[in-house]
Amino acid sequence: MRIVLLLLFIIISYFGYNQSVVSGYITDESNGENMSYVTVMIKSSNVGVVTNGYGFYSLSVDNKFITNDTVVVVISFMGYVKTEYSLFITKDVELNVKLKPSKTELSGVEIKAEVTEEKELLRSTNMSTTVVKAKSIKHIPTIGGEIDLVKVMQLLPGVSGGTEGTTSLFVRGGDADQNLVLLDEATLYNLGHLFGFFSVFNSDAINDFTMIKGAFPANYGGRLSSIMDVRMKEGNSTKFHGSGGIGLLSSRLMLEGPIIKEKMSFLISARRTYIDQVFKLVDFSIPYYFYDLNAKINYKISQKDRLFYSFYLGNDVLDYSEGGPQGSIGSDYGMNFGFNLGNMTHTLRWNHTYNPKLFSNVSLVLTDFDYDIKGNFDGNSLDVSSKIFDLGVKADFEYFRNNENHIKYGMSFTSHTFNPNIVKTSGEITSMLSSNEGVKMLTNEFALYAMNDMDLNRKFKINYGLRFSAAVVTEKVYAGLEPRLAARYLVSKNNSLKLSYSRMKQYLHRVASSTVALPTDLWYPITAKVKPQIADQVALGFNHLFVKNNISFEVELYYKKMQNLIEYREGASLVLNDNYENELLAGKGRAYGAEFLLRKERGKFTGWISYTLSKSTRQFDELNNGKMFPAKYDRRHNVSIVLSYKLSSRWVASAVWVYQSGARFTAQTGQYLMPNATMTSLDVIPIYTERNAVEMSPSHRLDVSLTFKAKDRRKFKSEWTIGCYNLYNRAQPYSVRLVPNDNSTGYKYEQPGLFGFIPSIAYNFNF
Amino acid sequence: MFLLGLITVFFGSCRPESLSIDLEQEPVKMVVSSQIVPNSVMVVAISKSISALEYSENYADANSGNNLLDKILVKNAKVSVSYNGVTDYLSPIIGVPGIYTSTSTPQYTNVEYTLNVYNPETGNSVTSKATMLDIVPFNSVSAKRLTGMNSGDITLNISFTDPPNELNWYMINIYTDQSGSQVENFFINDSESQETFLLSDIDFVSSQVNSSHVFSYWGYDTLVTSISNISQEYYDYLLARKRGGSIFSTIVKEPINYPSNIEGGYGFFTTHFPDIKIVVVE
Repeated sequence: MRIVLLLLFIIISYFGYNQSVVSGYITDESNGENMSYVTVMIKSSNVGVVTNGYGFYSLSVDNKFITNDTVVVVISFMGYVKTEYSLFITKDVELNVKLKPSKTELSGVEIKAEVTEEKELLRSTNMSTTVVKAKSIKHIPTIGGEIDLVKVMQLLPGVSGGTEGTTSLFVRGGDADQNLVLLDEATLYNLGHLFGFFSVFNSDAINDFTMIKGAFPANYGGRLSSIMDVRMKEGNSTKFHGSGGIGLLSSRLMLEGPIIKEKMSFLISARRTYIDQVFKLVDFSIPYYFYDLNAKINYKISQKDRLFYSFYLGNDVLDYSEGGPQGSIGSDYGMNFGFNLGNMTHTLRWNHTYNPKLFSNVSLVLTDFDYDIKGNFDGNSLDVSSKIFDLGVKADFEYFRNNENHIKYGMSFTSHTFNPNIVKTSGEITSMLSSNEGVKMLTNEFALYAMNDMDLNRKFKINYGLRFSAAVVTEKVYAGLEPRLAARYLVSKNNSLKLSYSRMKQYLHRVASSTVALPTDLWYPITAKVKPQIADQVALGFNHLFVKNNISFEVELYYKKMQNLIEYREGASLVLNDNYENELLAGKGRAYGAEFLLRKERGKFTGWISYTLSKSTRQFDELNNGKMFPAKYDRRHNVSIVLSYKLSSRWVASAVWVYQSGARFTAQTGQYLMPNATMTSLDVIPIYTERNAVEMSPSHRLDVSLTFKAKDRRKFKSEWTIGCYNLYNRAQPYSVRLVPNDNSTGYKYEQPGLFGFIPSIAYNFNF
Repeated sequence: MFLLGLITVFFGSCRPESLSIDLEQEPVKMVVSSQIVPNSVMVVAISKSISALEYSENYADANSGNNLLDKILVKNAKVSVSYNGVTDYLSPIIGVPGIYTSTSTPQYTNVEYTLNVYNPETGNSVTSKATMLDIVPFNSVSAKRLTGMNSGDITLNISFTDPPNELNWYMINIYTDQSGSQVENFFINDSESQETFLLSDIDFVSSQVNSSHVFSYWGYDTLVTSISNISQEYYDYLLARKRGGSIFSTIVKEPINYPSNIEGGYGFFTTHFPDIKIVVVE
């Protein structure tokens, strides 16, 4: 019945096609890449559309705009030369355009464009959404001087990080497992290298990312709190190009170019840390490194068909040996310890244009994530591993019914195979921990959706949609509807009000400790006992555009209710526990807050200021005596100031200042002695505060950098970036330690910071 | 060498000074534990809670155990137990501070006992209530030592009759000798081996219960075992104690807030009546 309703919904919206249509792709002339969000308008009118995420547009032209069988179409995008085309239009017209980058923009002079991305965002029904282009954040100072997309995400309103340096994200009061991270449509389960100090995204290979925290369009689902859609570059189809960088901790190189000019292109990008190799030169062993590899091939089969293949491989490797032969894991002598944490994704994507109004994107995606921890000690060996293998297909269709109705529908199917906690032991350790093949768990996840982005009149626009999702696990089928609604009211030319509601469902969990961060946190699917997480979110927003300065201002209020969240039972063992299902509790969560964002993306002075005031609580019948308690990362205030100033054509200065209230923890405040049940010995019983009752100290820091662009040598361009992280050397608490308080009868919790003042230098180049 | 120099700079950077949060010491409260020696004596032990670091600081001291006990046992408390409108005062044992006993308090089943403790040194008082439940005796008990790879283990086979038409919870205790029942050893027993199994009749298929329990045992050829019909609250408390493990396991376990039936204090006042059997290990 539900499926029938969905089909009906699509069919109702389908009819009524009697206008001429101009359609095609917009690409960047300099590299041949498809361009999203480009505005295509009929000259001297308010009628227009924007390109979709793949650079395709479809503009319906009413007869009243046609004079002498001719219509004039204007294509504009900030930073590119505005282009007009006079089209002879007796029937549908295909117009593929290569937009030329504007030289004035490149030289840093501000351009007052008629339509900008900011204006488009103001006019669209999108809210709680931020689009960030990789090139726009390349001067943001970071640890080690390397651009880090995840750290940039943490600077956005509504997003807070975990402890210092980590790549965990907590969006609008949600948990770290509630973020769907897509790299060219493939799911990534692990975002960090080196326990999260570096993100897995190699900035050279990334084109942009979109972060959605609410008002989720119906084509997205699977996580409660956010969608992070990261897109790789497609590969330059016009000329050979390369870029790279040498940093303190790692170096990277990216090459791209045409295989068949303007028809087929490639991109390959690699990055590796080399601390291990450098220290080896002085006979000192740091047995750790990570690497990643991104690759993409883009093939334009015809004007209607394009094929893309993307690949990502990332690995963290630790191989420590002591006493035995070097690298002798498996030896019976000495101690050896190592782990391997790997992510691999493949995406095969096919874009097809059926007619000027119907566009499709069909993808086959594969994700392979695993970790493997090995250790040998005194004749004992231990090998713990966990694996996730996803294989999925997605089919998305976009039907441009007319300029007022942009319909999307589609389906997705993913088969998840989980192998959590496979344990292999030998030696005496087997008496304490026996080998265990683990339980292989299969989850088949399915979704069907339809949505329409509809202009009701010049002021009102709505985006309504419905998603049907289901998951099949052993002995149980979970299914349900996820309604989505977003509405925009244009108060005036530069002011809009927005309102949204969305329901999200999540069919897997990540089991994480509330007290310690372990690399072995497990992704765990729903089961007959462990139900899917559900969230309902409403958001109200106001957008204003200061046209003169091209500054956008957004305020959003949100309220989110979550069901079937999971936490460990009190006293659950966190290490090598194979009985997770019985150790989990289900509960509720609630989060609400206000977010403010002031952002300027053009000109000499760019950056943003964001502030979030929020509260996030949890309630579990079997925790904290059933009373509501704060979420671990319930950070009340969160401020980010990100500024970049182009001092001259060769110098850029940047700074980031971050402030966030402390995370919370359950503190031990006392203890007592009690006989055990047999009255034969005494146990020490700790006394704790209520759950997460104590707030850690707030953290704040200032990072700065200065970039010097060297003189261009023909096509070779390079720049040096010097910077420092945590300029005033303040600890960013990452753990707590109980110590006596010398000044009173009580005690105190010491909160050490991981990184103090860290200088960095990096050399980046492109040719 | 250039890179090596840079990396040295990176790792040799300033380590920021730790921040701190001051926490007031948890107010000291009385801690209650109790035991019934069947048809003999009611024992209540009163101690007080300590700061979060006190045990570890004293643990480092070679003579820690008794020194710490001396500090925490409440010596001059007024301890009384009321039942059926009668109040009995428990007497301290000379030379064993913190332990209060009554040999005159009758042990009635299905009667509610109210414990009141007043500490004149601090002016604090605590109170608690517990009902002595019907005794549920063993029908039979036997213990057999396993052979081969598991020769350190023993299987205990027990049988008893679960009273029908009511919910019951049971505590099965095993220890190596009888010193646990000697009042003066209340806090300082050191049985070589002990084990507790908790049972709930929700899991039973019939009222005639036969169950086997395997545990590690390093004691003599005899062991002491007991069965007690306990309240649900005490059962939940003991389950939490089992899940909590030792103080050293707290770093790898989720924190537990242990339940307590002591108003104004910690610990647990219980009046369960055990059926005790001495078993020869086969």
